[in-house]
Amino acid sequence: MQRLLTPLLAFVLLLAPCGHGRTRVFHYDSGLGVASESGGTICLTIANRNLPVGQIVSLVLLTPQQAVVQTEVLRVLPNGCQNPEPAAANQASYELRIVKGTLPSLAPAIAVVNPPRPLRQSGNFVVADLNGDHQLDYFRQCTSSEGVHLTVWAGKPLTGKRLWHEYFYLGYDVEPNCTDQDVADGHP
Amino acid sequence: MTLSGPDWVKQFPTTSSIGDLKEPFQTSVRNFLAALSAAGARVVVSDTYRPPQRVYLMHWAFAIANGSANPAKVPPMDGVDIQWVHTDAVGNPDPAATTAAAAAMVKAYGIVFAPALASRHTERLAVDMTISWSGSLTVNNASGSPVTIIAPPTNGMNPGLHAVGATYGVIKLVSDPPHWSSDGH
Repeated sequence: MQRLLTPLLAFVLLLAPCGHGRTRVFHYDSGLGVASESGGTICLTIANRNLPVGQIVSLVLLTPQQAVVQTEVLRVLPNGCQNPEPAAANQASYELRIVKGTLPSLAPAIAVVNPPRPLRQSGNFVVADLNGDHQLDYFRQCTSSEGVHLTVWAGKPLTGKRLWHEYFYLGYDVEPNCTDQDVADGHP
Repeated sequence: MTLSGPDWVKQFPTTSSIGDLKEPFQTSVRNFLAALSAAGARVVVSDTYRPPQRVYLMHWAFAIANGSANPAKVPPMDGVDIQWVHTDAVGNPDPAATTAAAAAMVKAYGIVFAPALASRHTERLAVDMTISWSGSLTVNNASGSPVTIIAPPTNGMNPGLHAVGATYGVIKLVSDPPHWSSDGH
């Protein structure tokens, strides 16, 4: 019996890392952040204090058309980004460097750290199945009176479930186009 | 008249002074801030008054730069002696130079999204501020009664704090975390 169990156990142990890789959990809170370029510096704010220098960070641009820019962590910014809204207690700020693509100045982008599955372009949208539920996640932005609401949705924006939400302060008044679903308070 | 261009950007600056707000809202804000300070909350005021002239310049520069407005038909504004249409050496309109000058203003202002022409900030009736505290917060409402806020979040998005602000006549606009005004707009 033991002669049968030992190879079986070894087989299971060999498979375990593969299975773990396939089902790696994506944490929206610590895996998503907000990045923008200002004065030549790309700054990321994210609820994750453990990003190493060189960590690849994908930025989902939302204007004028959705696209992905690849960046990497250059250094920690102990004093945070220059957004007037201070970072929350659990947030950290990092300077990023572009690896591939271009980033329009001052436009906020949604940063994705270590997605289990790649981001890809689907028509006018960037999509990804971040949590492995076989449903594509979509990225969206809209404006309130003086800021941008950045959101990630399970399925098409405003019809699926909102999975993540952050606010980016602009510091000037704009024409609002957000819906109640975009700005509703509460987590996420 | 002075031609459009990035030199205009340093004129009509936004302020962060409570003293630039209109009464009685100014006093309402001062009283609310005093109560928050006495309660131990941290408050950082960013914007109060945004001059209508600045908003006018931002709005029309963006519209011209993006081709959504005819620079020759931009309505004038008192106190803003700007010439939107640039001309060539013989005095004919120069659309490329006109658009380039507007685009330079957009870049200098740091505009990404179309600016609105009016808001409570231009009326001196709004303040943008970040508020935070640790643990619970006991703050007096306008009647002088203490209100203890225990539930999170420990920042300006706390509904309990919104209720306290309302007693002072300082009303929260929930869609924009830093923004409070005379009527919630």
